[in-house]
Amino acid sequence: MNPWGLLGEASARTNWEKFLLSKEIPFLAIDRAPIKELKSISLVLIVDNDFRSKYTKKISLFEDHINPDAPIVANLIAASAARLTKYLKRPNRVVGIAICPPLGKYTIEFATTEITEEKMIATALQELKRLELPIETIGDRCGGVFPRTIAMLINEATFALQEGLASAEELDLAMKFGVNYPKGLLEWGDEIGAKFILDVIEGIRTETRDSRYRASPYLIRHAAMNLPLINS
Amino acid sequence: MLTGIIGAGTMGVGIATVAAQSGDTVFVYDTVDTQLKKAIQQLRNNFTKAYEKGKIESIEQALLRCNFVTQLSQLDGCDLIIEAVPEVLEIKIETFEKIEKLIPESTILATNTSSLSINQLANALKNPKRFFGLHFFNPVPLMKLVEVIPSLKSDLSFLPSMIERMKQWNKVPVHTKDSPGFIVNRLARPYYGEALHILSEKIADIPTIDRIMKSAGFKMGPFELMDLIGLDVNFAATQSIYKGFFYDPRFRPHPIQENMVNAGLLGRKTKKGFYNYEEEK
Repeated sequence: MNPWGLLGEASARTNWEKFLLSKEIPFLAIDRAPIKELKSISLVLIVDNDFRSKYTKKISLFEDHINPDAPIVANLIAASAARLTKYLKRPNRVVGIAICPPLGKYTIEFATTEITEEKMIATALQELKRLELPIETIGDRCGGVFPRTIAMLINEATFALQEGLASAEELDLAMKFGVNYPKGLLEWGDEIGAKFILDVIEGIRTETRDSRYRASPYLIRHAAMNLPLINS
Repeated sequence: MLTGIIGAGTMGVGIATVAAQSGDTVFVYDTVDTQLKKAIQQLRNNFTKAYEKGKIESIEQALLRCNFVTQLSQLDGCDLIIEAVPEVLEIKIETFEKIEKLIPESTILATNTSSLSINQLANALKNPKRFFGLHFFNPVPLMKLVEVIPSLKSDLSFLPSMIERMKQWNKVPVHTKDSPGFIVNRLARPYYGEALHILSEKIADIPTIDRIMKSAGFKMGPFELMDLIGLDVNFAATQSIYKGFFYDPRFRPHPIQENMVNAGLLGRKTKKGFYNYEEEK
């Protein structure tokens, strides 16, 4: 079984490494592995939410050494896959996925660009099946479907909390008992992580220039300090 | 406890059901005789369901606790009166002006509005201190939440007993401020708004969006839910909150909604909305 190559900052990579271990998928860190091992990679996964991070940009340094048949999977959380293509000599190997933490819980939302090769699409889908999660094909757009929607729901809950509309506990009770949501939105936000929610909203705002995508100061501050949304 | 309900429509009957089930003596007021007859039948149906679920011991005893009246003065002995008349500001104010003259100062008055300002209604009352919003969710016997909303003029010393009363009715009361959409209708806006944007940006089609959201734990997808709620009702709620927040783009309605409403494609109730229900029996 060929390994996946991961590229991204340490904390994002650690989350993916744990998940891949649970699925018995071998992996290596592209910027740490011996160059010759990069030829064995069957799929490259960019794990950073921000494609402009220094780690993600490193993909251009390693591109020539990576197995040429391996698709490069962009992270759609804060940018569309199309925006990663400019770093690559062979941009037609780029696909994208939107997946929300905790990893393993939600559907993989899979996207391709206008120039992605058919062979790369087939290989990427084949490889992603190893994660044993439902896969839905969507358009190449930042935030996908579920991450975008849940991020905006949680953002609104943080606006309400910031205004003192009700307590965190009451805001969560209201959504569970008023519209049967499986979790309160703030509780859900803490499970997903404030930073992730903020990355999605800021990514969509950057790509759409739509002022609808405005994060609450409460969310921005809590993401910056890595604090939970409830009880902090 | 004696509870008065003004208006024998769906919400009024639902509130009467949970009050009577919990042992309150209930007075349901309506001016329309046929509406009261419908209410009696609906209450019987609701109590039958409650009996089958083991929530009440006797359907007849629950019905005996319900009184149907056509004079507002017959509510004068109630310690709590909840208004559930149509969602029109003028109708509600006129109702409160009439009832206020007939009841003692100690009676708590509440409105079941989902979209009107509690402060604006309170301001029309002679004694706004005993006035609150009590926002129930449809269907009332099934949905446990009640938003309890004081106005800026409410006497908050009434709040603990109001909350306790709702708990006795087996509800989950949450105390919130008077703000457009209160908690639920406001916080749920992005569920519909993002779905419409995702659709219009051609990121995914309707069944795919619904499938993805349900796979994440939501009981219904956003389009299924909009069809159930009614696109006109959903659009009106969005417009009301958008206006209430002085056109903050976070709440901006989507042209798809307006087009569907203009075309009379309102969801399940017109057999066609985002999905087609014409084949369903």
